[in-house]
Amino acid sequence: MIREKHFAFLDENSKREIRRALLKAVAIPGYQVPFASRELPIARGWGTGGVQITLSLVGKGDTIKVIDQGSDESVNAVSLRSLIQETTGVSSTIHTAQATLIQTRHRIPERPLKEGQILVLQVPLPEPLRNVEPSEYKTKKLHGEADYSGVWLKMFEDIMRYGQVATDADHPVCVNGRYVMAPSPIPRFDNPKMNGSPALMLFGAGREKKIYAVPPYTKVVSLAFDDYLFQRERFAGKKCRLTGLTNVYLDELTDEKTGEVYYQTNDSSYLLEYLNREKEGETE
Amino acid sequence: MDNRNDVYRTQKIFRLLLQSMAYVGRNVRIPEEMVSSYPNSRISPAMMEILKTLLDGGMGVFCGTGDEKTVREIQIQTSAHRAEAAAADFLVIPADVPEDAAQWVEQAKTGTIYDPQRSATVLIECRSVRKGTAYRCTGPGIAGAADIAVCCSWGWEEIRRKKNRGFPLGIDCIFVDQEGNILSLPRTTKVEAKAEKEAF
Amino acid sequence: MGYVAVKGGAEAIRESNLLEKYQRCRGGRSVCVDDICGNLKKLVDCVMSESSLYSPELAALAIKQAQGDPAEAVFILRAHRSTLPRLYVTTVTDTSGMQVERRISSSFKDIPGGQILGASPDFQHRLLDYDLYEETCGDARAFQEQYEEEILREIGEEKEKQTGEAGRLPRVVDYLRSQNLIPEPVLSDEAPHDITTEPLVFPSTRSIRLQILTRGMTGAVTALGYAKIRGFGISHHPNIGELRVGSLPLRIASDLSGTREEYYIGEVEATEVEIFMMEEQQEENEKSVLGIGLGYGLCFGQNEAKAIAMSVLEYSMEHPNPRDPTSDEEFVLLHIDAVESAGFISHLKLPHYVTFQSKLDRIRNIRKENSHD
Repeated sequence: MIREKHFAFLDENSKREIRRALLKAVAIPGYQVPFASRELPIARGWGTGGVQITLSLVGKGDTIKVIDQGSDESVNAVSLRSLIQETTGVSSTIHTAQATLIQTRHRIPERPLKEGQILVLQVPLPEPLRNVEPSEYKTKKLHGEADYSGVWLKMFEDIMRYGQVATDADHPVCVNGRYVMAPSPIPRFDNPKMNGSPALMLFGAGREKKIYAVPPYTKVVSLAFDDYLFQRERFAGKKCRLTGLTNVYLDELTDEKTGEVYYQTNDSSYLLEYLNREKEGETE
Repeated sequence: MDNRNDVYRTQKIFRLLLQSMAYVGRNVRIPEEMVSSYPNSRISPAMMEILKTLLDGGMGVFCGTGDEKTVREIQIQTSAHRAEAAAADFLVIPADVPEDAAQWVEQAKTGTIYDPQRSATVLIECRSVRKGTAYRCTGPGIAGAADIAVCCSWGWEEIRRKKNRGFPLGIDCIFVDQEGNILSLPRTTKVEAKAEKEAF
Repeated sequence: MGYVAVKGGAEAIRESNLLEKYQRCRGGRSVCVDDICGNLKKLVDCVMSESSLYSPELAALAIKQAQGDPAEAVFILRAHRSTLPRLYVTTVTDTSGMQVERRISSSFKDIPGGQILGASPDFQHRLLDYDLYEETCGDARAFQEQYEEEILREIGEEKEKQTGEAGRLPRVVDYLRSQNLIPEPVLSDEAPHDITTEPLVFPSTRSIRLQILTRGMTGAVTALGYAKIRGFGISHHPNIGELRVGSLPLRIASDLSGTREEYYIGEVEATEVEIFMMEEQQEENEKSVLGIGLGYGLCFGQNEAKAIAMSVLEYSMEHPNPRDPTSDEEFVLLHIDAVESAGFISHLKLPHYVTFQSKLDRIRNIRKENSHD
């Protein structure tokens, strides 16, 4: 019986299929390329799309960073990172700037990405039109015909009902002026990071079997009306308890002893780097 | 089946292809140590390595050399099956048949508006992807604009423009020269000739 | 000294894994894989069917590892399956060549070849059998030997006469075809799609639907089949034309020797159901008449409820009715897979605090704006 693990787990033809899909995805920014998602030892819905992309990309010279909710130590990130490392032997880091491949769930790192870095985002529901149209067959047609009236109508109805658009995370974007895309459940705070990024962004939905991409230096615009502008989450009057930073996404936490609510930088490696930089007296 | 070394090699070559397709116009080269020799094939070894990286038994390939030996070698190396130009997932356009090249690429499939990914990738052998006719490129993958130079004689620019007129329909092109330099032009890249053809 | 990251994730996972193992070992017992294979055949069949991997030993091992959770066992086996190289594809297996162990038809009192009840729980009284507390391996072995000696010797002679062509049982459906009540099938040599290596797209093809149904969770397929015949679907009560359980021989073809030859590589146990549905059909003169349509179900192992429900759903999706959710192929096919449904449902356990924070922000914002109006 074959007990030896194949490099990066997936067999070579699975990797080829994913690689071909990735090239097409980069050539058609924001368009969901279907692929035959393979079964992995990690549950569907837990990042298998992102992992399949990472396993198809990774090589011995890479350094990977895996985060979930902005944290390298989140149990899911630890679990995925160990699967990747066990099957490749590749080195890992928590420092965004040192990583060549970053797999992430629900955040884009605070530290701006550089050319040559690849960000792989885990996507639970790749279809931005799903909550206006449950049928995959129909949403495929809508994308083909660039018929996005449904999502605009939903935003309009929100404004009528609530006085503002009611999206939370995963606010839809328009890529390269053509495809409306679900950026994955990153907070609205992170949407602007995608516009014109020097890095390549790849999106994997394992259970839904779709791969899509935003090439570097591509226009990515969050959907909004001219008179109701796109709004990020606001942390007005709030700052990170440890660093005083106000321009980062903050976690809301409760002090166990005092019951006091406080805020802390969500991106754990960014927080750490900032604290250590201050300690060593370096300037930004 | 791929052995261990092939596994690492195809991974590295794929990363170069991805880099080339994502950062349009940058210098990307497949180093010599990643390229084996294929005595039975009339296409360049670097081109064969690209085929080995991307193709498998499910893919249809059209090879413009027309000779059985090369086609057979491609089949042995990739398990891909032979296809007509209009049906092929990958077209290989060799450097030495400029007249026929145009009509093959004209037939290449461009996908549908519902399935634009069902389109061909056209692999073009040429004399150089560093020198030759100068073009200015804009679009996704390019900060501002990128200047490229390609020496390839059969009027690819106009044919590519026609095929890519109705985005998302289109073809994606990868130019490969003798030294293993590659230049990818995804369908989103706008290419404009800059000036008179430079002497090569 | 700088700040360091708070670690703990890996340790938490390690401890959680140890606790899982402790749950399994706590009674001081370790069930033998052979025992699972031998005594829990129905569970093994269920797991093989949902994993689309035929190996009773590996299925039993997965069941042991999963502590008996069928969905978890299927997950493990499917992941294993995706690491296996595909060496060959078998030739087309004609199920008429099945070595039948059980075969019934609800549509006719008697059928050529006879109704063969075979091994079935259908006529057992479901009374909890306390005697099983005392049953030992010795008891099982003794029963096995006695049964084999007495019973099989008795039918052994008759069975010998039935080998070869005479041993093949004719199909009930062929009888109805000979009466022109069921149209001849249109044979299609279209290559089937392999859903494990090709992307799933809609509208699907019949081969895609059959594959997804046969890999579907037994409970889910049964529930939807039930919904179909109970009310959310057809108005006519279906009839089982034929249900067969038996072994199917598998062959591969190779022309390595110079000529194309077929090689027998083994057999799989399978359950096959053909179901009859009353339906409207068109005669040649375009007049509407009533006729019989067919639904088809096939599963690894002895999986009768699933195969029957599968045949009902298969018919339903071949003849979709917009009012009927069980004939909506997206609704059925996308939600019956064990690995996908359990996976996505349980993914809700993952941390979602960033997105939740975003929701809180939106909620608070809207309320704040409203209180200003």
